[in-house]
Amino acid sequence: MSDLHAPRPAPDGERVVRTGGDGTDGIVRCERCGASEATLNVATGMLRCSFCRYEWSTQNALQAFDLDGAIGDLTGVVVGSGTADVTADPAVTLRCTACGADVVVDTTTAVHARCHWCRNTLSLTEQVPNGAVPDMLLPFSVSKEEAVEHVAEFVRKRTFFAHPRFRAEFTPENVMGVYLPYMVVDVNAHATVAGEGEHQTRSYTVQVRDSEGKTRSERRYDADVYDVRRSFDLHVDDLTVESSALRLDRDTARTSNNVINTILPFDVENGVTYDPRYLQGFTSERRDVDVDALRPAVLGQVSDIARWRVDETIAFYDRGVRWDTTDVDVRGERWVSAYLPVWLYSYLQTRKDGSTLLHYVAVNGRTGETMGSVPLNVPRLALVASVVEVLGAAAAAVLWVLT
Amino acid sequence: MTGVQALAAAADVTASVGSSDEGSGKVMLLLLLLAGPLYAGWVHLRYRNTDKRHHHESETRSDMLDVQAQDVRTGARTGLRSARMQGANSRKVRAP
Repeated sequence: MSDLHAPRPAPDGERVVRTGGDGTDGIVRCERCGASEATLNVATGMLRCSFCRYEWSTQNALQAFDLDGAIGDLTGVVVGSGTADVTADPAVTLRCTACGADVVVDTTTAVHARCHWCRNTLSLTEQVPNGAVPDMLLPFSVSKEEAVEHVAEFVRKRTFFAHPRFRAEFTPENVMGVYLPYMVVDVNAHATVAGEGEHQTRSYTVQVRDSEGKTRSERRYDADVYDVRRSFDLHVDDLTVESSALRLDRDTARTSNNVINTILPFDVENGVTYDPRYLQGFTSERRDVDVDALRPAVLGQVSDIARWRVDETIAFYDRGVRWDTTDVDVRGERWVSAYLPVWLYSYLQTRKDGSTLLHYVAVNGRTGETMGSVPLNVPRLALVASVVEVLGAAAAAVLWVLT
Repeated sequence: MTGVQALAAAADVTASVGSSDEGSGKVMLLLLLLAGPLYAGWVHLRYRNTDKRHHHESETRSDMLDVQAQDVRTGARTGLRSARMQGANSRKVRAP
């Protein structure tokens, strides 16, 4: 095990910021009474001992680890130690420090396990490279009651065409709090976008004769054409991307991960240093995708941001601009791994052919933004759409006769 | 043609037909003839939200500094039929 705990050797130009702290795996005790049970008080955002009610919080992570410096000063690659490439087994065996029993924690869904013998809660605190312990986390601030209301309200507006089995089984109280793994990335880049733009110089009407010899009016436009180039420094702050293969799957034929993506962004600047007790009472999904695998997608999003921002400078080209090239020269990038809070209501739909489609209604655990997927009652939709089609065709016939 | 495809096709046709009265009449006729698939597509998107995503391009904080513009007039085009430049893509998002 010792080699797993060694700091990752930094590749050329990469600086690793240690965010692991000095804690060790096992029982994490209350500083005041020594109890091993503590949970997040969602109302205050603080941790609360389940026995003596003592409340405390951990530091702002980005400030504590000096990961919030000016983006313009960023050079090379800076990463939190919680972003280390995933090389270790997701199952971690801990020895209970109270009774000596061996307890296995499956980090795929949790960072805790209760000792079967003495009932103490054992937690993962050390940053083993299995993607389970991040650089920071953002505690839930939306309560379960609020999340249930958000989910119920979302589905209530989509009941008429909802699948009958879904309607019968819908139980918003089954919503689960999940800490999902993300990478939060700052990028210091120089961007150059180039293409062609058109500026309208004249608009006029001409008379044209069609094949039947009838004359009609048509609009015509004249425009000046320009080679357009914009070159600028671009500072991207807290770009957030999913960092598990499961959540990066966007095939809407079998899953609805896109609705979880939709509830971004989070106020990640308020993230706190990792303490496993924030996760008690919630589930978590470990990160299984590394920085190098995510970099192309991040740079693609930075290119999109560059083109989006440069739109502010091309108002002169009132007919539009066609960008042909976007060059992004990255001078510095900073990667931080994070657990971010999501309330998830899930429903597995099994189709007649045996294939499945996993529907989610997701609530951002900080902002309450809600998005979801509701299974459809296809026969009912086809019937109503047919009626609409008949009415539309009748209206089209009337319009045709009148004109 | 599924409802969602009908919605996309209708949007393309609507954009390509100009703003003349005759063009507007054709668009209205097309929309009425496709009313069923369009309605099905709208309901599908409202329930399944398969088109929804995080708008990283506009919802991510960013600063643009020291902007240098180099614009050179290269010519002129006359008698263009569309009010919009052909191939304009400045608002198009490409990353997943």
